[in-house]
Amino acid sequence: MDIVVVVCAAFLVLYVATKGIMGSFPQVSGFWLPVDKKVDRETLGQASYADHLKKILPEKAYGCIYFSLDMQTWFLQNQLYPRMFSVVEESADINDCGLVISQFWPRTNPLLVEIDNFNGNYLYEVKGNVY
Amino acid sequence: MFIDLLLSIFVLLTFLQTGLVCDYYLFSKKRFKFDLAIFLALGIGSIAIFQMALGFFEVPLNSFLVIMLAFFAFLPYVFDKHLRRQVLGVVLDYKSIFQSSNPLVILLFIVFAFVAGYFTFSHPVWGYDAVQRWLAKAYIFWVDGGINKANVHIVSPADDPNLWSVTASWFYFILGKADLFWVQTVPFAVFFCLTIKFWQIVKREALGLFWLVIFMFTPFLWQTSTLKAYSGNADLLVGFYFLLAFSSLFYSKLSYTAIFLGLAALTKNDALPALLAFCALVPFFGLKSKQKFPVSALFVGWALVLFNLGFKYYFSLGSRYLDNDWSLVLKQKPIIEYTKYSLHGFREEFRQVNHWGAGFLVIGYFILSRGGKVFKDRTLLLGLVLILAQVVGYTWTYYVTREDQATQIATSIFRLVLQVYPPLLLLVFVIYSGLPKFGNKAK
Repeated sequence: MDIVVVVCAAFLVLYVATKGIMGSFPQVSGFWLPVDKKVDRETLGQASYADHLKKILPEKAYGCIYFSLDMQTWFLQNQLYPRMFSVVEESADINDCGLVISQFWPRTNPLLVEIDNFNGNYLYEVKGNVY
Repeated sequence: MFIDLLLSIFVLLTFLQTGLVCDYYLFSKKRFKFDLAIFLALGIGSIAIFQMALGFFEVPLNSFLVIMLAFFAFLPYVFDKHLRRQVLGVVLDYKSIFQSSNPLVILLFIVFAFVAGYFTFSHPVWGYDAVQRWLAKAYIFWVDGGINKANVHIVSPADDPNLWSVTASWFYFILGKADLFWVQTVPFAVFFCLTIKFWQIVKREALGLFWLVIFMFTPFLWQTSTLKAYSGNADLLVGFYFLLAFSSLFYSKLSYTAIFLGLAALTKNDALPALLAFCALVPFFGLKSKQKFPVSALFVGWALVLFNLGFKYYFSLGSRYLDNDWSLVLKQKPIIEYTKYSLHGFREEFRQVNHWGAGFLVIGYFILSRGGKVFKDRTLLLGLVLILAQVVGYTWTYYVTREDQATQIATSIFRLVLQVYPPLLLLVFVIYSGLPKFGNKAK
């Protein structure tokens, strides 16, 4: 009986795994892409944006990032370290933010002055703030 | 890209070599025994402990220093003739590994490595816990040159242990950049070492190949190293350390069991119950057996407990589960109902064939049909108690968690089960077959 259980279980596992692998193959399309493109595709361009911001912002810069897409926002916040950017909601008071990043779409808040635009990601300075 | 690939392989070699050196000089009494899984596990663990210890003294690392240190690990080949001769002997005798193995198994490993590699290296790590917690810490440690009192608190929850994060930051130091793509070579290597270790144990049995298939093709096990949502998580490493701890236990190498349980607890707090249970029970285990009292196992186990807690204390990391108003928790949450709910969560998870294949059906069958044997063999009993300690720990965590219990269970239970799945399947295999060579025959 033990042998039957082990053999049947092995075939069941093989069946489930093969089904899973075959089902996933069509979704896996990035193997031959260059690494940078794979990363940018997954992060929706935020890896390149982080590199760009690191070039233009001093290490002591601080500010806020509007929460947009969950993972992309946290990823950008982390990548900007040691520049400290807090993640804020739409309704947050941004007066003390210094700099404000808006991923993926522009802002129309009159307090904000656009200072950079990188592939549809926007960097603003809050009027009267020094960063 | 080619340079990054070479550097990634070099990083893996530094882990393996450091593990080899630790094993050879500290634990094997200069008797070289080739075991990839143990080398990788010890290498990752010792490098992590080294980096954590540097954190106490605030000694910063940089790429140059790390590469120098990595080369130091290879120096014993220059100065130790005995080691060089033994390692060269194994390397030159590589054909015997293939000749003594079942060709079907070699083919299985090669095909599966290609398929898993194709999946893994089609994407970077892109899972919430990985990006937001483990690799976020790794990035910060890499930028700052290591752990310090300020940066260890930046990523929440701060009381998460740092083994996986410092392993990834070691990777970043050698690569010279924080890379979410190549860092996947670590979990990929861990997964293959896990299966190789399992195969080393089950191959003695006539149905070993079937057991290997049950283990290796368990959907959530291979998916944890190949899918972007899970490949950067720490749970696979915990499962890896638990499997090594249990295999050492069944081979009566209690010091190794203590080390691997300690390293598991340095990977995730979830693994602390097994380590504490081991430290508490191993004296009784040792006193009743004919073997020597396991002084070294006990010493290593408690040393790792103290290191773990000392690190948390020194860096004021606290504990999100212990720093709680217990009377409030008890008043607000009926303990029996909450525990029952968690246990039902586990029962539901065990029957998920899309996660575990037939793994838990096999585990359930052998525990129900031959579970009595566990009570006749102290080693098996200790193994079962360690797993039960884990389940009690998970259930307790679900009870005291500040988050909604149902949400917490729905989003994490499969990852917790992954930690105990490899040792549990191994335990069941030993119940089924025994380990006759080592005097732990359960039949």
